[in-house]
Amino acid sequence: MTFLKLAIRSLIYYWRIHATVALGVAAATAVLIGALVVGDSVRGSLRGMTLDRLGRIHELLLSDRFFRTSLADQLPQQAEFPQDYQLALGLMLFPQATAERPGDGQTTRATNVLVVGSETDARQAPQQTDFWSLGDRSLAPAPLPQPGEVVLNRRLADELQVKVGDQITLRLPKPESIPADSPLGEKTDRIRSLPQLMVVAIVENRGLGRFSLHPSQSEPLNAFVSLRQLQDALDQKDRINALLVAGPDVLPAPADEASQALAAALKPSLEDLGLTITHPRLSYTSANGDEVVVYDYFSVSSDRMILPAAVERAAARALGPLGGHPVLTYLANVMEPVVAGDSPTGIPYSMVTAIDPTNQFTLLDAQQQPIGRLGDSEIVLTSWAADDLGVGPGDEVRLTYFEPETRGGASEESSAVLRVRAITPLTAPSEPFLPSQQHHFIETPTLANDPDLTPKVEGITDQRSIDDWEVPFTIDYSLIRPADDQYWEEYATTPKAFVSLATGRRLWGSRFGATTSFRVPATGQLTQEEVERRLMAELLPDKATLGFAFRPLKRQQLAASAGNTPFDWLFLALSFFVIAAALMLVLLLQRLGFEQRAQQVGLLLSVGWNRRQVRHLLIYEGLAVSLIGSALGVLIGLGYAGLILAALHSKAWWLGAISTPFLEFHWTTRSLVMGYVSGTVVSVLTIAWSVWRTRHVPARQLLAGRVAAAASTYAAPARWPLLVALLLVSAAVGLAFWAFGLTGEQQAGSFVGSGAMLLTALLIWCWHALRQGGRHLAPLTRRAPLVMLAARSAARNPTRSTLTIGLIATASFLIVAMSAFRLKPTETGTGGFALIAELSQPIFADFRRPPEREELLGDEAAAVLRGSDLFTFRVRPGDNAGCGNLYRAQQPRILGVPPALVERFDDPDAAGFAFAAAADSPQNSHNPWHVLSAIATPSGEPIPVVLDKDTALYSLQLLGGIGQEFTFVYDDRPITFRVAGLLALSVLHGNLLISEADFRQLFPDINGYRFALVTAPAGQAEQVAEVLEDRLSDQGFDALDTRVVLSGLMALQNTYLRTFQMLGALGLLLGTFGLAAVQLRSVLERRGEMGLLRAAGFRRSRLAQLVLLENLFLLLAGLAAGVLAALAAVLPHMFRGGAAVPFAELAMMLVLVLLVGMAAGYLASQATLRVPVLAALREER
Amino acid sequence: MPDLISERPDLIVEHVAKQYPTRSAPLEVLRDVSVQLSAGENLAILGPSGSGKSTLLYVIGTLEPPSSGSVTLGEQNPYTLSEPELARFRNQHVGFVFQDHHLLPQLSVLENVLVPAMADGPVTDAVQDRATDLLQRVGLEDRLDHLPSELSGGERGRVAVARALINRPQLILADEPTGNLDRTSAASVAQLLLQLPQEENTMLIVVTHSTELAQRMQRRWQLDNGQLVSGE
Repeated sequence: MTFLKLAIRSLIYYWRIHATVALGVAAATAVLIGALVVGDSVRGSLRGMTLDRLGRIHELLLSDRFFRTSLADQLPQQAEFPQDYQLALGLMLFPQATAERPGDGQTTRATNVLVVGSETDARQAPQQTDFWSLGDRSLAPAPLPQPGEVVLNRRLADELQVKVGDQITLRLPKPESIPADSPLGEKTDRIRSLPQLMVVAIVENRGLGRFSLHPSQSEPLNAFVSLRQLQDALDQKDRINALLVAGPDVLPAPADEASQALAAALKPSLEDLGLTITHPRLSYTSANGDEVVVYDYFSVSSDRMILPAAVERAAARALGPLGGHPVLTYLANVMEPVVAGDSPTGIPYSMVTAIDPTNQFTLLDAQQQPIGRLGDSEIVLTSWAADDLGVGPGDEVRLTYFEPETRGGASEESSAVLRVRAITPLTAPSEPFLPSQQHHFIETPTLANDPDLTPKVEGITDQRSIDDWEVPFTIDYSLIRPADDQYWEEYATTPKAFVSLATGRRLWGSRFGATTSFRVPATGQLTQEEVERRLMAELLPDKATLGFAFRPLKRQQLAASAGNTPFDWLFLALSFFVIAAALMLVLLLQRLGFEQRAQQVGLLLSVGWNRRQVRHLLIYEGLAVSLIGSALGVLIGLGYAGLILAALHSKAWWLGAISTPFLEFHWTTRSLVMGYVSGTVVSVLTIAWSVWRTRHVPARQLLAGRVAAAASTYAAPARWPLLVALLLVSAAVGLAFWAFGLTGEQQAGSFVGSGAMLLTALLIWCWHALRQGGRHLAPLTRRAPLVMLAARSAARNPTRSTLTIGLIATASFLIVAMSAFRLKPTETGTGGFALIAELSQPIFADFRRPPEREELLGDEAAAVLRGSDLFTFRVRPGDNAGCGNLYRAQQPRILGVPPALVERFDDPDAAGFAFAAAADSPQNSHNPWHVLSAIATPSGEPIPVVLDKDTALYSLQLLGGIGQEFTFVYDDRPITFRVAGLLALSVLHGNLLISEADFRQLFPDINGYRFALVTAPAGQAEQVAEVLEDRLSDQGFDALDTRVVLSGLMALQNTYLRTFQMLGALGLLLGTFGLAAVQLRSVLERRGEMGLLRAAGFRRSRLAQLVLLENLFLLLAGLAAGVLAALAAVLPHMFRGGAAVPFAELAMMLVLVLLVGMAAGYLASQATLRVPVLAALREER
Repeated sequence: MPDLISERPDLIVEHVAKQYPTRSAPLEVLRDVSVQLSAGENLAILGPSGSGKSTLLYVIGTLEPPSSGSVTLGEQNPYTLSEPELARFRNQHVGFVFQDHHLLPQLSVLENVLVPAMADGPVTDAVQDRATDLLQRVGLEDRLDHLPSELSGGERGRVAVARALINRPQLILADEPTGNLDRTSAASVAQLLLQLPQEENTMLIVVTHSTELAQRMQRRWQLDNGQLVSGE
């Protein structure tokens, strides 16, 4: 007989108890495995979905401008094009389109539709290289859409309620080059419609049918049309705005180095970047026949009127050494002399150029003397303007002009008074100006005779008359005199005045830039090609900031598929009770087994084994049991995970919160090994601890079959426990009263704290009563003596019984009390707003102002909107960083908070969003929104951001609270934010909120507003929503009731709480088996007593009843104490309106626990019938 | 085979044998034991450890059925009864006193005495009065509310005697009732054990090692290796 053999024989001999311990181990391991496999499944499903929707697509370039189709063809030809990629596909993508199905009286509309315009002409794009070839070709629609046709994915078809053969309309943003937020930018007519598109096919939400630019488990709304159709509709022949770069296979996603090489391979032309180089040259043939060159230079300008800052910087670097210098030309609405008395009529709509003198550009005054550098408040007028205004050097003129950036869509005028430094001659041309021809002069022209100082603006500079100007602002035609018309005809865009570059930039510089052209003297052998070459050499490294940045779509979305929540850890945490209960069961069963073998242990000790050897024997047995139990647990755990996933698939459970069924069963070897090893180790440790605890039991006592100490005696009555309990009750009441003054989670937390104190008081009282022997509670002389005897028996070991009651009470308390955190919509969650709206296309007007409402929406709509207020936000599109999106946000959406909203909350009576925390400063003490400064943050400093607390904690894992800095990359540019405020859960969940000033500075190219919060008089929200959706249908205005949105957000938190409660109840169920084990153990300890009762004539069934009643007493006492304390915590919060308590669900849970507990108790009681109690009566002592 | 024959035997134990199965041959604990006893009579059973004394006591006390032979108490063979009937029979006809007394530590002295009365339902006032009376008779009238842990060994023994008598049984079986007591306490308990059954006209069988106690009993039997080998 060896040690090992003994252990094996013991394992086999005591197989029953070992089997029960193994089941406990299996339960613990199964829960571990289940949680880990749920994590695997979430990650695996997200990853699978990513690969499915992107197919072979690895990189995306989506520009805000249109560029040549040939760029896509050239890209793979470049030497730098990495081998990781196979092809580049040019197409048009519009992520924010609107789709409509006209109906009888009611239009069905879907916003935020992704429109994919790809080549569907087989001659142009063989099947190997069309959009659908980038994914599973078998999922491609048949037929592919031709002009006049559209293919929808299933989700969009369902949303629009259309079928094949129906017609829909798509609304897309119209290509506009001039920023809409500038005075010359178009603000109203910005939508291009594609009407009566016939639905020729509907593709399922699989493969490229659910192609999406953003990682989300929600199915996107996709419409597929032919590229040619879009190019025709948008007047962009042979133009595209997107490139998709695909590899030979779905995986692997190329590494960062490959992305960099790809970026280097992309070489957009000057034209692609929207830049033009012209060669203005004015020469004059003098009387003696010589050609006199007045000016000869190259001019770099942009189709957006203003050169982006990156271009200006590149031009300065590339062309500065060649004498290049910036020019800024702006439109002055009125130029007038500053004189006392009646204001004379000024010159309307004049170009004023800001330029500094250089060697090649030196304006001369009337005396042909160089004027030199202008001061900050000085202006040079052309002779035409000076004559017209009747002013001369030293006089003052006032320039009235539009602010370079509109406010709320309206152009606001400003003015500046400047002193006339000099008059520069302007020579009258001999013939009217024709854009395609050179000016003709009889007299010598001057440098001022240069219409090319003004950038080309379609609709203005190409018009023959001021009357024909197409501008978004109202032209005051009454100001325009015949002389002005004549000037336009003769001089066209020739400036009438000059200021210094500094003055010009001070007055007209904006976030869009401060240069309209870059002027390079055409000296020596300098050619236009050389200028372009030099400029492009500097521009290409900076092309990302000009909208030519690739996004590693596959890599980003795969990274995002790691998930925003570690579901394995989440479910481990949620399963805390189950794991604890299973381990407790292991402990109790092991202890039970030990007690059954106490005599054997005593014998081993008495024959000379030392305690260490005995412990090792038992622990080795425990290890074997754990290994077997854990193996079983792995199998059960896979089934358990399947059950959880099935529950998560249920709409009633989780689906309502995350909206789309997407979970599939995934497991990894790592998880199984981790779960198996963890389950085994934890179980062995538990068993070892159980064995170790018996180290002091004397061998003689073990030989007598006893492990526990002899029965306790009851303590003398003491008052201190009652006093402590009373103090705790008082504190609980006090805390509850204080909590009435709080709101939200703080209130819920305080009420739960109060309930916890009450629970502690109850348990202390319970312990006290049991210590008294329970005589006053359960005198045997009353009726139902068996019940009383059971109650008194429970008091036999007051500490153990109190702990048992305490465990059940604590578990039931937590399960019920967590209901206090179940949320229901509150005023602070909606911020006092009735509607939350998103728009496919931006709006520019300030709808807070009644005139704008009447003008743009009509009198009738304005009347409905009376009493409503509408706050619009700028939007940098990005990932939904809310907890509802299971993907980890890589580029969270950013909202620019309008100053008007911040001001609204200055009113202490205005309903507002609740802040969980905000940066401390005097100006935001009464209104935390002031953490978002009205002035743009200095460059290089982190941007203050307000975000939802849950978004920060769970989605973005920002655990540092206020002051924490974090960085995200937008448009290839890292932006660092600093947490300045944390909102309690609200409809703004999932967004980064920055000040509008910061937004405009960070994203100068984003114009208008695409997000809105709307107030409405009570009961009129629906009407207001209808009017806005109707009048702003072109922009895809889509309004939702804020309470509905908030409920949806709260559903997620409530779902997790519910899961916690359900898994807690499962733990409690296991706990009831533990309780039964405790009972059985108690019976074993009291075999003598039981024998006596048998001897005294108690039937075995009566003994079983006694044990059952004792079990029930502990179970009921625990449940009662827990539920009572929990109700004390939940009810006040519920009556205050903060909690939505699912009473029926909880009651069902607790009744189930009670029933299973009773069943377990019954098993324990039946087991007592098999305990040889009579033997205990005759044991030699 | 020695026999004890009384005029009106209320307890008749006839040819009782008790065997326990083992892997080899069955272990014979009792062999052909016959005993008769009448109301008011008492009997001591002596013998070395392992001689089968306690087994015989439990067989007579209806706690362990004999392998063969019969037990008749009050003209009833209890082993023909079902388990619930047997328990009720035992409750009504047999009282036990154990060496360890087996008082329930969570119950008071009075409640411990009442335990047998609770086997079938609520305790009546009459039973409660009898318990109080019995405790008065054993000299514990001022310890009714005390817990067992607050009593001396002798006092516990006295409670056990009172408890054994609560249901006015025909037969009291005592297993080493003084085995754990000091001389004075043992004498006190022995006195009560002899006196009270006598007063209640109850049969008493005591298994003991104490020759002193045995000497005070009407009859004495020696049990050795499962057989009654001598008697007076």
